[in-house]
Amino acid sequence: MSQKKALIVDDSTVTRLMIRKIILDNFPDWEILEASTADDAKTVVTEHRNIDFFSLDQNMPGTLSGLDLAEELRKSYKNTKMVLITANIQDAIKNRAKSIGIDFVEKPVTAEKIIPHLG
Amino acid sequence: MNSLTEIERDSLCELFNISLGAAAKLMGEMVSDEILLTVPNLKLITTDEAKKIEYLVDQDVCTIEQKFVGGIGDGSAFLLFHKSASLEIVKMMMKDYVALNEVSQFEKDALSEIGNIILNAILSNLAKLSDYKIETHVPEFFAGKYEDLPLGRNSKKDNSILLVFIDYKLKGKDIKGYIFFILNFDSIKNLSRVLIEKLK
Repeated sequence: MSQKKALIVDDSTVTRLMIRKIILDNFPDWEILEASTADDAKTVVTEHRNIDFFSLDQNMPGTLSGLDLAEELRKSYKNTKMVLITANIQDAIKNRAKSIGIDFVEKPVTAEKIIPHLG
Repeated sequence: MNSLTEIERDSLCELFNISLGAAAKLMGEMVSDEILLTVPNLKLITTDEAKKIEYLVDQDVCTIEQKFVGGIGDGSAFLLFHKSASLEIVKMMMKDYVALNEVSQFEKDALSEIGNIILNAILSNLAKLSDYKIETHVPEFFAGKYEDLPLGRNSKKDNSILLVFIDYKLKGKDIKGYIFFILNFDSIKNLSRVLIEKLK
């Protein structure tokens, strides 16, 4: 069985570090990929196939938000687990996430909030 | 002279009070400690007056600024720490993730993320309570003397800004900080009118 891969997209190094540790504490054999912007994430996605989990920040530098990126990723990753991890808890954000089929997790990150989405 | 009526002031105070409860809970989660908040203290002052706040002038501070745009108006929210407290806060936040001797490398990034979470929580609650949609940008970090803080770049012609001061304190620790908002006077009036209308 091939090694599972998670891509963490967040402009905060600290949050990437936290999510990485939470995933590896629970799934030590996973490969963790990281990107700090949506554009960087698209480069990572072209270099690595078969990503099993996407953790996406909403507000990042650059032209694309986490939800914009999720919409693009959904074209190729129709059934892959994606989680929007954000401090922006407005209904407009939650509703758009729902329409794209991406789970919503409120920052700050904790294992309790993220692990159920990895299963 | 720009001023608020008693009911306008009261409605805004209550709005910030409710929003801060959620923010304090999140900050407590991040630093694994209880956050003590004061009742919001609303002041309508000018940028120049804000520069001369007695207990902040000449202080070394770190701030995270979250600019926002939307129905509420254009403005900024700031989370402010005294510089001496900032590394202690980052240590509390990062202790489970990196060795203590590595914490200082993450100071700017960690404080920016704390600011992002706290200020977005407050603004999201403001949006919910007022029915305005608010868009936020990536937060900006500042470290230096308080008087060099670029206050007021969002204030419009009337040069009136709302400073909503909220003192917060980590329980049992000598760590204190402030949150304040800058909005122009028209936006402040509009926001209070919306709130009063909702309360009727």
